[in-house]
Amino acid sequence: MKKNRSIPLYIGITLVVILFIMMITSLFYTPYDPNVMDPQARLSPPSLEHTFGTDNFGRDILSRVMEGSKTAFLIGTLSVTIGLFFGFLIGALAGYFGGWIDEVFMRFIDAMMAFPGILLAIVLVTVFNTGMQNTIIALGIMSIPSFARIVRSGFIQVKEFDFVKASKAKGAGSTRIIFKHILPNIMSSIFVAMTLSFSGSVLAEAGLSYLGLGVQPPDPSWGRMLKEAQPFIASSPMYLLITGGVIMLMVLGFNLLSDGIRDVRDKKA
Amino acid sequence: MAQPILNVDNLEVAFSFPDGEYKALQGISFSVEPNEVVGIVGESGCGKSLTSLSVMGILPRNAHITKGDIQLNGEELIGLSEKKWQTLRGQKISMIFQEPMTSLNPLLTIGRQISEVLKKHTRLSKEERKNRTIEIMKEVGLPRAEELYSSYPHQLSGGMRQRVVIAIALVGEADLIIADEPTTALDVTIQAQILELFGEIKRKRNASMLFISHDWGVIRQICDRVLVMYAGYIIEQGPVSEIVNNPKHPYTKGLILSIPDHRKRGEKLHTIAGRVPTLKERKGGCPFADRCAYAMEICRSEYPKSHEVSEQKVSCHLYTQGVGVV
Amino acid sequence: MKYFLYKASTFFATIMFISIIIFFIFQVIPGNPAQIILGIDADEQQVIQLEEKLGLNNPPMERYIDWIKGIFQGDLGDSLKYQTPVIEILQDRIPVTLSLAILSILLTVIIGIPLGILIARTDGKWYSVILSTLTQLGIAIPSFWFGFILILLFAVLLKWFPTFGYVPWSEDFVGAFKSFFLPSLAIAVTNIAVVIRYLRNTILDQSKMDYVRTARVKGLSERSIVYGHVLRNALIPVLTIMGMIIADTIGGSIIIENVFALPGLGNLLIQSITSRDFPLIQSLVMYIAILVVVINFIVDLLYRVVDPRIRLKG
Repeated sequence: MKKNRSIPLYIGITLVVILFIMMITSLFYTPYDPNVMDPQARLSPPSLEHTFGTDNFGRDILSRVMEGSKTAFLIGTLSVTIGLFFGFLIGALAGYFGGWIDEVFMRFIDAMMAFPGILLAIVLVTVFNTGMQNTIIALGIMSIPSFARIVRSGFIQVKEFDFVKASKAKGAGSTRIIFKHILPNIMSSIFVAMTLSFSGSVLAEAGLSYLGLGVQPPDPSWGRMLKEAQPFIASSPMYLLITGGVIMLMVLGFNLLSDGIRDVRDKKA
Repeated sequence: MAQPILNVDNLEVAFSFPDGEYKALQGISFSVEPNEVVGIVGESGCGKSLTSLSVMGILPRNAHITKGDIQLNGEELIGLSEKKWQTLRGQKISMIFQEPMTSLNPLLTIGRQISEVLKKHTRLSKEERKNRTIEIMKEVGLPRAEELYSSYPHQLSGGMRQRVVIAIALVGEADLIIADEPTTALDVTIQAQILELFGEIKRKRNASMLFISHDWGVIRQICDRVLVMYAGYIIEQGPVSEIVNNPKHPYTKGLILSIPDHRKRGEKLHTIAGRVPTLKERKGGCPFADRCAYAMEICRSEYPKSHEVSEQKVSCHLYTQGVGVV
Repeated sequence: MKYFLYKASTFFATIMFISIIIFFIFQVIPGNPAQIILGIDADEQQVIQLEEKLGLNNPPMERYIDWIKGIFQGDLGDSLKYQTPVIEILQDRIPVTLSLAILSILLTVIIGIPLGILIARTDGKWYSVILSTLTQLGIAIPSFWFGFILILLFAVLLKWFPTFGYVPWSEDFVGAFKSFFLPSLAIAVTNIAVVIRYLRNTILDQSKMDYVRTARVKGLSERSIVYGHVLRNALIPVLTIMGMIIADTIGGSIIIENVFALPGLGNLLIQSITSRDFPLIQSLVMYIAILVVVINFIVDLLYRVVDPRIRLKG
């Protein structure tokens, strides 16, 4: 029984590690130059030369997929960082001070959550313009609410604990209380939210870029590859299947990782 | 003597764990006669509830009967198909549980939860089922039964909910009612009222009951006979008054001595040192040996056969060895 | 009643907050909106005219109030691109998005709930494990990519459905259903997976409850215990995630409408972004957000009707 439960976690770790290695490799080496077009070999099916085949310009799909993983990891990591930073700030202030500050911040967060995530990202990208940097900011803002909620509930819970009241009375500084008592308590929830936000950002980036509102050329993007592949859905479906499949595996990997962390936490509790 | 309502003979129940099988009940033999209330006492973890769940045919998934017979009105229950079991439950045997707060479905009306038994087991019309349900609600002392019929559990107090649970057990006119600590979760005044209700049921309905409790006061008030269980065995059984006034087994003696008594106010309450061995700690021999002041060598190697001493049946080497009363 | 008033007030507060956020965000657009709309080549006179028309020179507070009034009165001015009143454009678009959303939510419920029950009832069996694994895939799959796969499978290979395009309900019912079915399924796939996983967990949790034991000693069959007792209790928590699912459905339709070329709100949104029709975008976003909040509000009230513990309290 116990062993069964961690199988998904191992699959998740394996997927993430494989994709990570792929990303690192692409920094030094790709089978072909991802941007070199070969008009002789347009839309060729997978073969010994081109493992995943070529796209409509004769570019090597494997190389482009590898290249795209850089964008996916970059956007995932940075948007989670932004979301975590501001989410933590908002959640901590709301939870620590309570009262009207809490009420205003939480209304704000509720209003953000009422937006379908992708709509919020679309609005932000529309206003701030497309491109890598703005996509990252938009997706970062999109993931603020989930972090803010976790951190806020962590602060509210811990604030009531006697030992925290006692250490406050003894004159322990707020920083000390935060690092010694609050952070360890909500760490696992934050990890779960981080992995989920990561996969959420990867999915949203693919959606935005597919709509033409996300990452712009020359930056590589899986979502834009899907857009390029769409017209050839009937003639060469491999392009579409492989690119989308990689996105799915990355999202799956982080989701399983998140489930696994939650299982470990629940078992401890 | 007439045929007993329930006859359990040499019942053995085991739990399957990844590391093997562990016997949780052994050599359980007793009967419940018509219009008799039989109590089961013992510390928690002794197998009281497990015995009743075996009789109901609702053992936990990893527990199963390995030996023995259970007969209801002479009909063998062990080996029945689940389908046949379902026709018996609610109609021939019914059961009352300890937790009135959670034993009822929060989303269904009281009326529906009681009349459901009739829907399953009788061919009464909807109208007749409702009338019968309201009748039984009045019988168990629920006020404003017509109104309560369409209420939900959360609108009722704990005592009232337990009356509803009792109504569910009575409405099918079962031959045997099993009550598993039905008053334990209630506060004292409500407890007295519910016990009063059980007394009434016994008198008016000529009901046969198996009544599980760890409270000797309750047992004395309700039961005719009592089974004393320890670590999966029935170590002593007999008429309640006999066992309370003249316990034979050292464990029963310890239990009786530890009943709080106003005449002994100020004295230190008697306790039995040690605790019930867990399932995995049980070895051959008498399971009480480690806590028993009279333990002999044989106690650790061999479980004593049941021995009739005056009106009781006792399983203790003090009697098989002829050492006699202590 | 008190609860209703509280909920209604937070409902309006949320809408107010959203409108302020949207309004504020659209104020931040760098550069002169009139200039952006008209392009760099526009002559100054045109820019000044448009500024006047959009009320760009009024104080922000006034513009905000004008906009909000317009939102609730349905008077949104003219679309810059289409040169027709925005409200007329919306009237054509809303039924498309609504059909898509409703069909998708129906699919979520019709497929998700029975499968959730099935997986819970067969918990531990090998095919149950396989189904559970599939739900993980369902959550990870990008919905628009799943849309492509559906097109590939059912439109290109099997030719059961049109690849894309739209037939109005009034014209041809079967045709309309066919044009909405694949996109709805594409949006629904993630939500189906979420419902299955969630319902499985709530059913398994509820099956351990004491009232299930009571139902069992009544002699009820396993079947009537699940359908008569457990399921009701297990569905209540599912209702609470329905709001999230509906928001996802509407968000999903924005992308899927573009995959299947359906002329709905999402499709319009992307078009107006491409043509930088800011007044239209601003109002569209507000309407989509209001749609989500209203549906959430309804779900919240529904939740109270279904659960007698809450219904009969206040």
